[in-house]
Amino acid sequence: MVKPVSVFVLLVALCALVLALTHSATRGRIEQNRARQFVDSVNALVGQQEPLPTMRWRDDLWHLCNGKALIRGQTRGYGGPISWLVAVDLEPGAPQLLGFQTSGHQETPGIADFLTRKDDPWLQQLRGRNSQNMAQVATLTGATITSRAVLAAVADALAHPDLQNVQCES
Amino acid sequence: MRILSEPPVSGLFRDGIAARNPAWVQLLGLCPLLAVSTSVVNALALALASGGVLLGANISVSLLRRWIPDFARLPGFVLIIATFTTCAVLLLEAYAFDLYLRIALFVQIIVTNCMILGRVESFASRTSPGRAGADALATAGGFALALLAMGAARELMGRGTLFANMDLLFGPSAATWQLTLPGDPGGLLIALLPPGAFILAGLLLGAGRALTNKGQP
Repeated sequence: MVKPVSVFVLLVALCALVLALTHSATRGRIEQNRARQFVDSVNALVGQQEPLPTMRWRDDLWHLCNGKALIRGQTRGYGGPISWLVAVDLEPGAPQLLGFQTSGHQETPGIADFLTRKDDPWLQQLRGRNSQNMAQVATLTGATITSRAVLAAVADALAHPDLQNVQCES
Repeated sequence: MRILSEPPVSGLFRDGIAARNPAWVQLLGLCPLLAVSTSVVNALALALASGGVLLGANISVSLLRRWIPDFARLPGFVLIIATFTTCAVLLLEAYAFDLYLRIALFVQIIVTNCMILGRVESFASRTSPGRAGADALATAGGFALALLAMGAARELMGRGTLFANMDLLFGPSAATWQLTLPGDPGGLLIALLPPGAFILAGLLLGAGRALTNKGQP
């Protein structure tokens, strides 16, 4: 007679095996998807850049050496942290926002779909703003906390301490 | 343990989809139902994921029913369901990445969907794998119907479109499936928000009851 406990341990081992197999079968595609998403985000933010120049993040700031810079970070949203990527035009004096892309979030599906939608009008209106007139953007009805988090993220990005004196290193 | 008189498989389907519909009659799995049914594509993806998990869990529990020790029954079932859910999340992330970004949160909580634990515990653990599989398909079909009805109604009312963004699930050729209401209806925001989901679910529930309880007070 086999002990029930050993049966349970066997069941756990079986489940672990199934998970390990699925993980190894999907890992390649998942990593490809994530890398692809990053390249797509950068392209959407600063135009065609394929292949991407070597990544040089300094304190979450990456000077692209064409008058533009990328900033990455996380801001607390409604369901958890929202990871983002922001592109900035390094206009001397008042850096301008070029775009905002979400790289990961746990916001409510449906309500926060605007984060990942292409050409979302609410996200589009942020383009070209600087830290002064960013405050005039109204939050999005129905997604107040999420859209406020986006505005906070963009304000954070534009207030990056090294933005004014970042050097191109290539 | 054997059930004394086993109903035929066709009865299983009639039960799962209508008489014992998990969402409309048993009111199970309402959290993902209300949260994800903002559009047809989200609803369909969640229906497919829940259905897959239910099918896998039902068949495995049925296969293992003689070996799973009674004292560890529920932990064992939850373990099996969690395994299938994690596999579903990984597959979604690998093969429908854009959709994964939108609904991953609610696919992960399939593991706590009492509809699945209910079918596994009360049916699959007492019957043959074939019947357990048929029951999973029937129950998942009922859940999918409820999800799609909600998704279609909310997308139509909230955004004025139907089948938008189907390319997230079926590849680029499906991008043309979108139907848009003539004119610019704008959309009722409340249909997309949780309160609207509750109101609509209540109306659908009432309509379902009226159809199945014809003639009764």
